[in-house]
Formats: sequence, C-alpha cells, structure tokens
Amino acid sequence: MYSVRKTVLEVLILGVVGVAVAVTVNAVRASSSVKWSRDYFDKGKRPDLPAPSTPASSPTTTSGKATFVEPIGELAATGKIGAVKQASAAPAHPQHSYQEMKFEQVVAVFNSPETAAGVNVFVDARDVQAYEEGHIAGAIQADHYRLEDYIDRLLDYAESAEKIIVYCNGGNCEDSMFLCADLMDFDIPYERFFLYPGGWEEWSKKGMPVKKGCE
Amino acid sequence: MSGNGSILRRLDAVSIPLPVIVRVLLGVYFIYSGINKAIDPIDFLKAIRTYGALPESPPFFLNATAIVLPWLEIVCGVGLVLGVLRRGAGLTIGLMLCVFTPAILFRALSMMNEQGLSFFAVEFDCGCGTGREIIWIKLLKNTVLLLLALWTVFSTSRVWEPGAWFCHRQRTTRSMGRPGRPYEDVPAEHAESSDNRSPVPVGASDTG
Repeated sequence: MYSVRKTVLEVLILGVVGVAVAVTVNAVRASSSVKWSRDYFDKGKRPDLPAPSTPASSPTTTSGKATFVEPIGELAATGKIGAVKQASAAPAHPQHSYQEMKFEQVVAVFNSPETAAGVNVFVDARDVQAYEEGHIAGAIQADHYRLEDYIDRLLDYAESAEKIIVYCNGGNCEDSMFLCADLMDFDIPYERFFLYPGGWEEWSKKGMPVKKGCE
Repeated sequence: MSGNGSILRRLDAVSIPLPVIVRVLLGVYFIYSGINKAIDPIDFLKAIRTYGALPESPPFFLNATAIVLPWLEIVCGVGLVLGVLRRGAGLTIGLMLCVFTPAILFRALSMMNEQGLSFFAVEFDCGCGTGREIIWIKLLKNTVLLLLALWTVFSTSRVWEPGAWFCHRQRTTRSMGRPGRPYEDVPAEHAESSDNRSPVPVGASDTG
C-alpha cells in the first residue's frame, strides 16, 4: 500500500539536503558557528596534579595566602571542598583540577591595591548577554564557546596579570573551568589563575560591587 | 493496518482539508523550533550535552548533532509545508521525536530523583527550541506531534501537493493530449484510490 522504498528514499534525500544546508550555513556564518572537532567541554588538567587519594603536605603559597593554590586532592582531603560541597543542598560545583578561591579571598583580592592597579584581573566566563546584565565590577568577559572573539583581549590581560580570577554563574556552572583549560592551552601558568566557584550568584547576592553593560 | 488505514481514509476524506492543515501545522512547528536552535547552535550544543546520550569524546558527534539537527528539522518542516517529500519528512520527524521524547522523559526522571521533585513540577530547558518548559506538558505535546507525524506518513491524501499535481498533469497530458488541472476530471472511484494509480482507466492510457 505505502511505498516503503520510496519513503526511505525521501528520508535519505531530506537527510542529504539537511546536512548540506547545515554544513554550508555553519561554514559561512560569521559568529556562533560550531567547530566540528573542537572539544568544547574539556576541563583540562593541571600537569602536576597529585592523585586525589594522596594528600600532598606542602601547600604552595602565593602572596602568603596558602589556601589559594591547594590542588583539589588536598582540598578534598581537608574537607574544604568535595565532601562538604556534595552534602550541601545547593548544586555541587563540578570537580576540576584548578585552584579555587572562596568568597572572602575573592573579596580580599578585589579590594587589594594590586587589583586597582590592574595587576589582578577578573574574568567573566559567561555569555555576552549575562555579562551585560551584570558582572563583577572591573571584570572582562571571555566566552569560552566563542573564544576566537575574545582570546586576544584575554591574553593581553592574562599574560601580564599576577592573579586571574575566573568565574561564571556559580552552582553547577562549568564554563569557568573550560576557560581555565583554555588559559592553560595558551600557556598561562596555572599558578596564576583561580576559580571562584561561588561565581556571579554568590557575588551579586552578597551585595558586592557589580556593573552592567560593557567595561 | 487495514483498521488504521480506514480511519486515515475517513479523516482524509472530510471536506475540510485536514491532512493539509496537519502537515502545515507540523511543518511550521518544526521550522520554528529548528530556527530557534539554528540561531544559536552553541546553546543547542550545551543543551544536548546535558542529556549525556552522546559521547563527549571524540567531540565530533556532539558538535555534528548541534550543527545538523536544527537544519534537518527546518528542511523537513519546509517539506511538510510545501507538501514535497511529505512521507519522508513525516517519517524523519517521527524518528526524531522517538529519540527526543524518551530522552526528555529520562532526564526528567533523573531530575526528579536528584532534586526530590514531583514529576509534574519538573521543568527545564530541554533544548527543543521552545525555552524552559514544564516537562509533562512537553511530553504530551511530543506525543501529539508524533501522532501527527505518523498521520502525514500514512495519509493517502495528496491535496495541495506539488508532486501530485505534477504527476497528474503528466498523466492527463499523456492520456488526453492536453494539460490537465489537478483534482479535476478524475473519476470518483480513482480520486479515492492510491496516489500511484493512474486517474484514467487501464487501457485508455497512451492511446493519445
């Protein structure tokens, strides 16, 4: 009754046309194109990372603030992240291998004269819409998914910065981790960048200085 | 199949062109949702990753899906609206719905378990191009869309289909020696018959 062969042929024709249109549009579009082979969800990994079960006993210090550079193995072992986070009601911040800063530490860096002098830099890893709706005052934007649009400016800041604080929405947002992996790919030493897991949600809820629009 | 076939034939035969309305509505819906995804394929890429149904490594599979799927929806939608490759478009959309709907259901169930929510309270952006939605309504909607897609596949009506018009024109030109107009001068017994049959009696064709 129904020509199965003809219907399957129609499906194949539509498939070929769909793929052809998609490939063409993706190749010619100026922005928001998806790269066929780019790993957008690579969280990267610090080359020096100890195994999580092996607590390292020598926390490195930067500017006398030892907790800044503890790798996740140590933090998990000391209960600062990991188990504590998993038990909380809020969505757990995904696992990663980068240094973290807690809210108080971020505030200390934010208020430091070095930040005012441009030695430290805050990087917002969210998309442009979220950034323009509000961001940490003074933060530059670098959308990991559209990195080609931001990388020049980001590297200008990152190569000379002493501390790079990367944040996104907070909660289970992973974009800041992906951006840290990008920084590592561009040979920015991992000792210099820090994740702020609380991110925009925590910063804005606690009434800290924010700015709308572009910097 | 005969039971379903007779229901479909009755639905096809009503005076309002229901099959046309169904395929145009379905087509417009998929064009709309496809455009919403195609506008920002990166957002769509993030959305499909949340299902965990495709491997993240190598990244090609996720990226290719984000690039191709919205345009496949648009092409099928256009096919349905224009009545071109109607059965293939309906089947492709049906197959996509057969994949999407269980994926949404499983994700909703896992969110239920994780967050201790009732099934009717689960709400998220399923990456369907329609934003954040209440999931049980979305599942219901998808089921209706699937039924409509099946209708377009199995419907025998070829009203307002350029393919039917072209075939009919060719046949009438061959058999009567003059250009024909669609759905005109077709004997009643042939008008209701399968679309692949000649509108003129066997033996009368090719006689000029």
